[in-house]
Amino acid sequence: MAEGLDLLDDIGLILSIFILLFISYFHLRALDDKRTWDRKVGAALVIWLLLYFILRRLQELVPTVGINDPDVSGLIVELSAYSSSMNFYYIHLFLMLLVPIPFLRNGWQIGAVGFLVVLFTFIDRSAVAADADPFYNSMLAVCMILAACLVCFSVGLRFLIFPPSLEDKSEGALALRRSGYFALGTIAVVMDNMIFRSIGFLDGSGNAWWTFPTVNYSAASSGYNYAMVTLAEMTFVLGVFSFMMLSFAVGCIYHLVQCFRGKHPLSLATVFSGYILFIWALIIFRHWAYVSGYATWDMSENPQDANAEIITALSDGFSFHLIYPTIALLHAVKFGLITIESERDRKILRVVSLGVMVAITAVFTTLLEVIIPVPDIVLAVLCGLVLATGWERHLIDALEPDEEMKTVSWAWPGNERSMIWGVNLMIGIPFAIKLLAGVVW
Amino acid sequence: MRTEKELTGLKKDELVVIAKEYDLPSSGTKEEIAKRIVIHQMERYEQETERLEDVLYHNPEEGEGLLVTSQAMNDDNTKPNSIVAGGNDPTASETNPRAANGEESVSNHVVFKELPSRTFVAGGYEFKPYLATLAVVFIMMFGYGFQDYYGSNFSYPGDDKATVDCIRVSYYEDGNGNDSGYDPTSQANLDCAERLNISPNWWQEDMDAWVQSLLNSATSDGNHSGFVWTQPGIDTMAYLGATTFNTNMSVFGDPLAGDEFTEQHLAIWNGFGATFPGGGNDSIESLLQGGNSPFSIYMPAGIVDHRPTGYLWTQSGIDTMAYLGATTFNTNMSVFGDPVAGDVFTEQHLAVWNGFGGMFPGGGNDSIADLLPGGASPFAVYMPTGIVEDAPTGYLWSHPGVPTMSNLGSSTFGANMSVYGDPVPGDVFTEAHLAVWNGFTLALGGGNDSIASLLPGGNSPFSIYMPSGIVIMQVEWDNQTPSASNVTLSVNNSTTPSVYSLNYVFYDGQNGTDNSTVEWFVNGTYVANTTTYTANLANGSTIMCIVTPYDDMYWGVPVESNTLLIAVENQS
Repeated sequence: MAEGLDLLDDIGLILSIFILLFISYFHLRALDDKRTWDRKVGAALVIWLLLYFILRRLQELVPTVGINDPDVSGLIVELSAYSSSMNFYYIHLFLMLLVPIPFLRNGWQIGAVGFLVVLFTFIDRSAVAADADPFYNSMLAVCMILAACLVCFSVGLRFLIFPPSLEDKSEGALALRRSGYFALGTIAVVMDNMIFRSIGFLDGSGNAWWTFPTVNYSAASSGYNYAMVTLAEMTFVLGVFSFMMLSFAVGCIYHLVQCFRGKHPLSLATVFSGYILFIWALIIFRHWAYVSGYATWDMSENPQDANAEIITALSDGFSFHLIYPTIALLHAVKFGLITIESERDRKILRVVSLGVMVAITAVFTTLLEVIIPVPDIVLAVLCGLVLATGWERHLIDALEPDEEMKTVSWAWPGNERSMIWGVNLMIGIPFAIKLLAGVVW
Repeated sequence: MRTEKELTGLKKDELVVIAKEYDLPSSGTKEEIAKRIVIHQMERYEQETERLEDVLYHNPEEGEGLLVTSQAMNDDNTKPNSIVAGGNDPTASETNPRAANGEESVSNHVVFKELPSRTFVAGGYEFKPYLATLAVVFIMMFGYGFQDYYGSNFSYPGDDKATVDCIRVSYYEDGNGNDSGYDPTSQANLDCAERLNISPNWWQEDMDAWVQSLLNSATSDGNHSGFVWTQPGIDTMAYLGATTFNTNMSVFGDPLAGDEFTEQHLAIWNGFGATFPGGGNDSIESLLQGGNSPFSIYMPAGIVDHRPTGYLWTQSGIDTMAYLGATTFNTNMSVFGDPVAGDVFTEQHLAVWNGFGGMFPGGGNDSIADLLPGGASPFAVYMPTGIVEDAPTGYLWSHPGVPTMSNLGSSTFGANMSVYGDPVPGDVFTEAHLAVWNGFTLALGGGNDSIASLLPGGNSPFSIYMPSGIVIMQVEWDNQTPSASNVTLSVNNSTTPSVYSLNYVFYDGQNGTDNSTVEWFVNGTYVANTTTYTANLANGSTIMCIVTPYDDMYWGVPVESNTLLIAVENQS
């Protein structure tokens, strides 16, 4: 059984690489093209995100990709750890706060965010160092990213509940539409498997409160005061996830009802609503499995039995391997981050779409085979029929950006070139350090 | 603009050409291509209409974004250089050469100069009530979560902070034996233990109870007591019965040495003992040699012994276990009954070991065989010489026995020597090895051999296949093994450099050739393996050697020579 589920790792990795190559080609083939700054930065951030996913996955699948030399200097290990944190936090923060309509509107604001990430990473790592005194669980950097999530979330929820009329072409309506669409896409891309703790936060179960990193051991190690610090931080982290998912559930149901009544247009928001409700079904099922003892996980969310392995694969494994890279592709094409212009471009997009379809099929069949021992040939016939009916065309059509997404932008209130270079270097240098440290040592 | 009817009247190739002109996908059926072209034409029409409406009717308000074309950006992409007041660019198609070719996706690109406010983007037109509602709901959820967890984990009668801090001191620091700062007698721990109403020594008490539970579970497995009668025990009990208890050994079922000493036997013993002051409460352990029975003075050799497991403690094993106990498990050897080398490594000992090992990943499932040198214990790396050795059976694997068994395994039984633990000549041939052998031969008409059957000329039905036997008796091995004695060093200072020579007496019962090995050590460091050693050694150096007797087949016990201390004046 585990062997079948292990295939998900390989499928997800191949899919991510496939999509990375596709987006990178279109982004890098004409860096000096006439795309506006938000498209260039958006495309770069999606590429960095995919690179982050791929490197992280590689380091799990092939540990030698990471630092493997026991004699390596502690300084290198620390440098690599900081680089990894910076890489992760910068990508996610900039995706949420910089494009398409920036919340960070000056170079110094970007620099300040960068500094805070380093500072919070330092505090968090110092609190759990081997010789730390006091030794406690600090999650400041995670809190920071979730504060940014709240901003992105408010934009997305606003769009779900109060979408501007499609007929309204005013600047305000354009801004609300573009930022709303983008926020929903970003939320879907950066969603973490901690969403599966949304119910646990409310019922106080170990599914949320006793699963790393939200475990309050600070009382045992450093006493009451530090326990309160940890409790405040972990309540914020878990609370944001729970608050966002519950609010999205309400917003998505409201949006679907309004669509049914013809008051909201069918759009990307509708797809997002369906996705969120699907994720909620998984959240409820996983939570039930946890509290009922149907499946068992340890405090690090490692499956402890066969049921837990399947549910993990269905929930966060499925999201991580399939949904995130697919939405990253959708994000890049749908919002015009990369330009699909000629017939040749469309052919390439079609190949990628077919690849995504194959990956989707592979993931589903892998999961199905684990749950229901269906012969491969039956699955192959079913998949063949699905593909033969031209379903990939629906995916391609879904990827086609709306005209408005391609033609509306807001100017960066400063030097665009400096900002684009600055953001890429802030992410790229830590990534290069992390990669090189793993290769050299 | 062509109508849909006109388009469907065209041939597919003509439709493909039109679609390519509009830069549309040309795949699909004829109807699909026609529909695509119609939609495209309608979109173009609407866009042009809207653009014209914008030009003609739109009047910007104060602060509204300004509409510019993307082609109007500076080369450095910093600021637009062609901002048209009024939020439109009526000359877009004129200034953009691509627009003239009908590529409207580029020419229609608008860039607003002024960013909308953050609150507007986050909350829309009614951002105040919207964001305020979100903030209130989130704060309420945060408060609920915080209070829920706090109430379950940090709320105590009285002062929460003082209680939580005391829990840290008593359960995780001073009062916890697993903490490096363990000090149950510290004032802080005493005060906190009083506040929490627990024993300041709770950890040690829990540990003792746990170890005892392990011992109890291993001893009373429901079928076996883990103890056997000894011959001195039987003799002593018979004597006590005849002289004191007025009974004979039939009440115990006339046991033989090695028979199990059962709980029923203990009950009978305690029944006798209860008639005397202080008696009647012995455990079986009390009846071991040196046990704490009130009658121990009358039975100096004890009554019982641990049931043999086929494994004995080794000295290195005891040292290793003592080290692990002190550094890792926070205990001492008393939990194993302070064994000495050669004592039986019992099932109880294994239970205690597995109890400790279970605290670590992968541990807790060792068999006694896993604790042999090179065994499969996950902790083998910490005990390279193992903890136990095979108990002597009186028989060892012989030199011809190992290759013979290996050959039989590969040619007949389909097994290799790993089923015997890959023994080498001189290893104990255990009862477990015999069981494996009988298991293999059972299907071939054998299966009933004793170890003696495997000696050269033994009565095994398979002796024809192993004329030199598989095993050798311990005494015969000892007889075959050469020895060295009177190992002394001498030095010849008349030459430069000096020559150091070795003298010893080699003995072999079979008059075998002396092929002993010699190892020279200077200042404790190995330097050579020659029969003599030539060197100018510095003043204060020491030199010695080790002789390992060998007769081309059997290795004897290594013997060290005396150590010479080099003095320069002696050499001059």
